[in-house]
Amino acid sequence: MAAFETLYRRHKDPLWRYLLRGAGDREACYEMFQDVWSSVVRSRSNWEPRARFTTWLYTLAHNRLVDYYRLRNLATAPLEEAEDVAGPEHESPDAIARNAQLRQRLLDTLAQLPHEQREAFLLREEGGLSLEEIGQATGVGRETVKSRLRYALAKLRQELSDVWP
Amino acid sequence: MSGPERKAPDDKLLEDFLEGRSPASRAWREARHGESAPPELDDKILGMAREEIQAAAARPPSRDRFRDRRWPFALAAVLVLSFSTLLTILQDPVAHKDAMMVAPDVAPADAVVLPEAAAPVAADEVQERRMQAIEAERQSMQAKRRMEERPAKPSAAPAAAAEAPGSGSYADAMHEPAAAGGEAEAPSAPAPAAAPAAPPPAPAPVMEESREATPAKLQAAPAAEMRRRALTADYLGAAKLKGESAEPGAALVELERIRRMLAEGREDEARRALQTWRQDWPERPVPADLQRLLD
Repeated sequence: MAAFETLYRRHKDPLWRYLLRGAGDREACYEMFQDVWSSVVRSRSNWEPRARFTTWLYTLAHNRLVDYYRLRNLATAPLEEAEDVAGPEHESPDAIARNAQLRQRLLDTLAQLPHEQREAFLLREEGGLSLEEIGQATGVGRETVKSRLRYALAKLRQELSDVWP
Repeated sequence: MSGPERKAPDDKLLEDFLEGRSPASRAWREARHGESAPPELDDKILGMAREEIQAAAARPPSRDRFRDRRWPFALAAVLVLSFSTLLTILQDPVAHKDAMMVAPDVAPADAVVLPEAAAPVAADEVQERRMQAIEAERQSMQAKRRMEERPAKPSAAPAAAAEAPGSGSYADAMHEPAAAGGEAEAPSAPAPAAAPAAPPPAPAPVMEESREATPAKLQAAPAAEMRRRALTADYLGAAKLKGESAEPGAALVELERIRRMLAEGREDEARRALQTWRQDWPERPVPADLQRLLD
């Protein structure tokens, strides 16, 4: 039980953000988050020690997210709008306003990406997975992952050109 | 000019991103700052995990339990099936006969035509019947030899019967099924009148072995009753060999009644009843044990 608690505390926030940005819906994320951890507990015997726990965790999360897409008939369509994020309270009002604006632009751009590209970006940023591990979690090859990331980064750079030289 | 070490802009962008140097990565790290899972979910999920793990520890893995016990289960099932099959064969005379691979022509007299004839008989009677069967076989061979010596004379069989009492009607029995084309019944055959209590040779040992295996039944049946049943069975076997229908019917019931009269000492009454019986069923031979009433 102690081992599970350690794993949970280490991965809960990145997983939460992955699901929240992947689904774009806090309520759905709340439910999926519990489902994924419940799957981790129930199918712990299926985990192979050869695979990284992180890869396995995000594979479960990806599958749950795909179910959500199918349920919502989202296919590869972009999300309607990004979920707002509250900024840290210790910054000055100007800085808070500026950073909040930047964050919102980033999130909006990310929400506009096709979900495969968005997922690849999130798996790298939140899960810290390598190209191979992203491919393993999403069931595609390494080159496909690279292609998806290239498209995602090109789109982000285009939208954030004023802060991304 | 672009050398091989110079990467395309997209590749540079990707490489920076993978190494965490991309402005997108920095912007994302700032954007996610302070964004974490709701604390109320922590207690919920950790509590669920605790319950699940404790429940799993309490119950043994069912798959392994089945694996450990599957061979004893399979062995027990095989033993039960074998025992029940063996029991069925031993208790059912027909199945026993089939299991012993006895020819089908031995069934009617004892087991099929008259079910009560399958009642157990004493061991000494079994031996006696075996001897009678051997004797009948010997006599039938003699009769057959005589018939072969005089094939042209149609009255040869009665003549042989006159010369060899106890084998003449058996010769008839040999002759009639052959004329009717009945191959299955030809090889066995005691005559009802001339070969008293001679059973069909082949079935007797097999059926009697099964009877020997049930000593409780042997003690339960009175000897006289068993004897009468054996005679009836012999009679039916002989009637069948004569080409008649061996069905147990009114004729047999009447014969049983006559035997009871004899047993009770009413000999005159039995004699009259037998005469009536002969008028009613003239085609049927008189059983050997009642022959003396005709004298």
